[in-house]
Amino acid sequence: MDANSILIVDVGEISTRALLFDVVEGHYRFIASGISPTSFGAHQYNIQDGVRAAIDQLVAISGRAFFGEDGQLVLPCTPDGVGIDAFAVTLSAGPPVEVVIVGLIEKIDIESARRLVKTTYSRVMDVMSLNDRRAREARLDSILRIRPDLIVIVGGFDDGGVLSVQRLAEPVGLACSLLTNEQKPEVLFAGNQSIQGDIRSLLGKSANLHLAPNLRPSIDVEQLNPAQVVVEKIVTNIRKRQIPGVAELASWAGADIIPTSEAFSRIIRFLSMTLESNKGILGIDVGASATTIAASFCGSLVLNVCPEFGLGSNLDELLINMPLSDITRWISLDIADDDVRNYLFNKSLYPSSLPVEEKDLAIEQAVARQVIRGAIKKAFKRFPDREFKYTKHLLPWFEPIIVTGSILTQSPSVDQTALMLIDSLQPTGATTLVLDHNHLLPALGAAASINQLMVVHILDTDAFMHLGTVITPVGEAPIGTPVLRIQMIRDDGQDVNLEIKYGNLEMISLPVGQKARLQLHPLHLFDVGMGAPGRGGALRVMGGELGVIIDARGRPLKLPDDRDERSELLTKWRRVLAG
Amino acid sequence: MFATSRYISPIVNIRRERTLPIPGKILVRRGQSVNAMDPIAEGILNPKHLVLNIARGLGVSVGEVDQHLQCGEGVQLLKGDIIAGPVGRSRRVVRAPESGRVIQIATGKILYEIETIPFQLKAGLSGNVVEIISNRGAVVETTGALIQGVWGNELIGSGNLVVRADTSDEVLSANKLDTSLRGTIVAVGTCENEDVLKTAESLPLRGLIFASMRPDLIPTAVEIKVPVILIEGYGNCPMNAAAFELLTRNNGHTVCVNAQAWDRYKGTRPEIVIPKLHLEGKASTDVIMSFCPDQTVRVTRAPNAGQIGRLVNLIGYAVMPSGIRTQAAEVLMENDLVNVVPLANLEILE
Repeated sequence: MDANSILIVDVGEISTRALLFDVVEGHYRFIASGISPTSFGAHQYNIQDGVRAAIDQLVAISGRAFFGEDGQLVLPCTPDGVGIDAFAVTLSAGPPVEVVIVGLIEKIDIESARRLVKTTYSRVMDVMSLNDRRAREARLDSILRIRPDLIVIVGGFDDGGVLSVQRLAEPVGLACSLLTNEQKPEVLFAGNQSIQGDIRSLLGKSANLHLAPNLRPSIDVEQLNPAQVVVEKIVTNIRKRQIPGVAELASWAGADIIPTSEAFSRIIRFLSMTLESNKGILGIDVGASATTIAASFCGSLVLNVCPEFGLGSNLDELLINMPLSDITRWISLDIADDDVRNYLFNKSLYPSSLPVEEKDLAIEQAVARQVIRGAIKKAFKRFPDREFKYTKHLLPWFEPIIVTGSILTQSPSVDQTALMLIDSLQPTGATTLVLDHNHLLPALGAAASINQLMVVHILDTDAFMHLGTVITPVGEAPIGTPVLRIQMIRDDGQDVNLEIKYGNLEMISLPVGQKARLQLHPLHLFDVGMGAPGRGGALRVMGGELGVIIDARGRPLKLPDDRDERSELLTKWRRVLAG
Repeated sequence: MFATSRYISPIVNIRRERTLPIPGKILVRRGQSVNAMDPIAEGILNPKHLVLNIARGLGVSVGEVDQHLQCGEGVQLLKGDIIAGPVGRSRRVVRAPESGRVIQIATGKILYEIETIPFQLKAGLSGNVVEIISNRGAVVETTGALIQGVWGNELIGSGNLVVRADTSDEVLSANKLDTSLRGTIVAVGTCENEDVLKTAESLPLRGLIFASMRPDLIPTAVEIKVPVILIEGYGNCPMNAAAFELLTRNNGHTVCVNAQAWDRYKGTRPEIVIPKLHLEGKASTDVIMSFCPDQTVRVTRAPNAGQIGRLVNLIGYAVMPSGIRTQAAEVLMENDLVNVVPLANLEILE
C-alpha cells in the first residue's frame, strides 16, 4: 500500500528542513515545513539535534505529532494520527568525498570516472593512469598520504586486455593492506567485467570492495547510471562514518539515506519522462555544499555536482576557479575589489550569515550569478549535440528550468531572482522559469521511490512558484535592430504587440492564473527554438510572477568593459524586471 | 534557533583531544604535565616505500627466495644491511638501500618502508595529560583564558605575549617588529603587508595574533614558520573588545597559540590559551545553545562586524535594509545603540 503521509528530512550544510506531505481531499499536498540550522561542529556534534529541531518546528506549525512517548518516530501513523506512514532522508552536509581515480587512458575511462564522481559531492585528489610516470611505490605512497575516502578503478573494454588494469590496481591493494580498518577507503571497480574475479582476489580481503558494471564497456559506449547507484550507496556509508548522527538517522528511515543531489536528479529525470518535452529539462540547486546541475533529455540524465561552486565554507576557493572580475562585473554599485574579496573569504567563515546591507546583497547576488554560470559551463560538454541547441557554446533549449537554493529563494524580490537566473544561465529560445521556493525537489526525488502518485500530485499544485516565461531570440545583429515581433493575446481578449530590438530586455505582464497565446515572428533569421532560425510560431503560456520576459540582449551576454556604462546597463535591466 | 558560539573567556576549564590522523607511538603518560610545544605522539604521515625484487636481485627463482632471506617482516634494517643472500659463487646479496623496515614479503619481492622523520603531534596547550588514546594521542586539560579564532596557519607556538597595539584596529607595520620581540607572541589589530609576516619569521617571533588580515596574504602566512591566528576574519576588521581586553590584561604572560584550522565537522578551532593552572575555571559547556535575551553576542558580518553586544530581545522576522526577511534580534551594541541583527549573523560568546 502506498504511504499517505510522508515526512522527508533534508540535511544541508547550513539548514535542515523537515517537509510534510499528506492527502487532503483525495489529493496529495505539501502541508508544511520546519527548518533548523544543521547541527554539527563544536557543541553541536550530532546532526540528529538539527533534525529534531526542524521536526519540532513542523509539529508547531502543523499541529501533528510524529514522535511517540518513547521519543522515537512513530512509523506507520497510528489511528489517532500520531506518526507518519513513510520517512526518508536526503543529505548534502559533509566535506567533499576525497577520491583517487585509477584507470588506463585519460580521455576514455578516466574521463568517464571523473564524470561518475561528479555525480556526487566529491573532490578528485589524484589520478593514476598508464601515462603516470610515477613508480608503483610512489603511487602507493600517494594513496597512503591522501588516505582517500574512495578509490575508483576503471579501465579496459569488456572484450579487451586485462593485464594493465591489474597492474594499476596493485598499489591500491598494497595501500589497503597497510591501512588500518578505520582508514581503509571504499574501492569501486567499474572496469573490464572479465577481470572482476581477479580484482576480487587482489582486493577483496584488503579493501572494502564494491563492483559495478564497466563505465566504458566499449570505446563508444559510456554507462554511468549503474555505477552511479553504487556510488550513491558508498557515499552514504562514508557519511555514516564521517558525520555523527547519520547512521542513527538511517535507522529512523529504515532505509539508506539518499544524497540530495541524487534525489534532485531523480525528480528532474522523472519530469523529463512525464512531460514529454522535445526540449531538455534543467534543474539547478545552488547550495552551500555545492551547486548541482541536473539536466535530462528524453530521460537521459546529465548530473554534475560542483562543490567548487558551493556558497558555503568552500567559497574561499572560488577565486581559484575564476578571476575576481568575473564576479565584480555583475555589480552595479561602486564597491572596491578588495571589499568583494574580503566578502568572499569572510562568507566562507560564516556561510549561514545574511546580507544586511544593499552592498552585501549586491556582492552575494553577483557571486550567485558566477557560481551558476561556472557550474552550468562545466556541464556544457556533457549536453547532447545539435538537436537540443542553437550552438554548442550556448545553453540548450530547455523547458522548463527549475531552480532552488536559499540564495534564490531568500532573495528580497522575485525580479532579482529571475534576473540572477537569466544573467547566469542565459537561456535560449522559449522557456519557463520555475522557482522551488519550498525546497521540495530533493524531497520529491526521495519520495518518488515511496509513492510516485504523490510526486505527480505535488508537481501539479501551486507548491512551486512560476516566475515567468523567458523568450530569447538568438542570432547576430547590430544593437537596436528589430529582431522579434511578438503578439500576446490573453484569454480575456486583451492583446499586446511589441517589436523587440536587439540589446533590449523587455517584460510583458501576465499575472499568475492567467493564460495567453504568444505569436512569435523572429526577424533577420533569429532563432526562438521553433525548429529553425527565422521560424516563428505560436506558444501557449501561463501567467507568472513576472509574466513574459523577452531577453534580446544577445548570447552569450556581453557586458561593456567600461565600469560606468556597465553599471548603468545593469541598473536599467534591474529596473525593467522590477517593473 | 540553534546558535553558533565561541569562547572568549577569562577563565575556563579547557580539555582538548589531540590525536594523530594515523596510528602512531604515544610519547606521554597519563598525569604528565606538558607544555604546548611538547610532542605527545608521533607517526609517519608521509611514508616512502620501495618494492625490492629479491628474486631478480639474487638471480634465483621466486620459489627459492625464502631460503635466502636474512630477515622477516617487521624487521628494522640499517642502510647496507643484508636482506637476502649470499647466493652462488659471486655471493650475490640484496642490501637495504636505506635504513627502514621490511613490511611485506610476497612473490619474491619485499615491500620496504624507508625510515623517515616522523611527524610529531604537539600538545597544543600547556596542561596535564588526563587520558591516553591508544595509538593516537592524548587528552590534555588545563585551566586558563581562552580566545577562539576563525583562521590559523596550522602551526603551534608558545611564548610571552606582547600586545603591540594601543587600539583594537591598529595596523602592524614591519618596522614595529624589532629584535626585542624575538621569541614572543605578538598581538595586534590588522595585518596589511607581507613584510610583517616575513619580518616575523626572520626575527623569529613565536606567534602572531591578528584581528584580521588581507586574504591575499594567506599564501605567505601559510608559508612562514610562525603560527598565525586570526580572531575576526579577513580585511581590516578591528579586534572585538572582549578579546582585545583579555589580551591586553594578559600582556607579558605565557600564551599558547594553536593555529589549527577551523573545521566544523571535527569541531576544532584556532585557539589562544593563557594557562592559569592555579585558578579554578568554570567547566566548558558542551550543549547546543539557543539564542535568548541577556546573552553576550558577537556580530559576524557587516554592519558592525566583530562588535560585541547584549541580546535584548528576539523579535521574530524582520526585514533588513537589503530587503532580506529573516529571524532577528535587537542587540544593544557597545555604542549604546540598539541594532536589529539577523540571528544568522550572531554568535554567542561564552
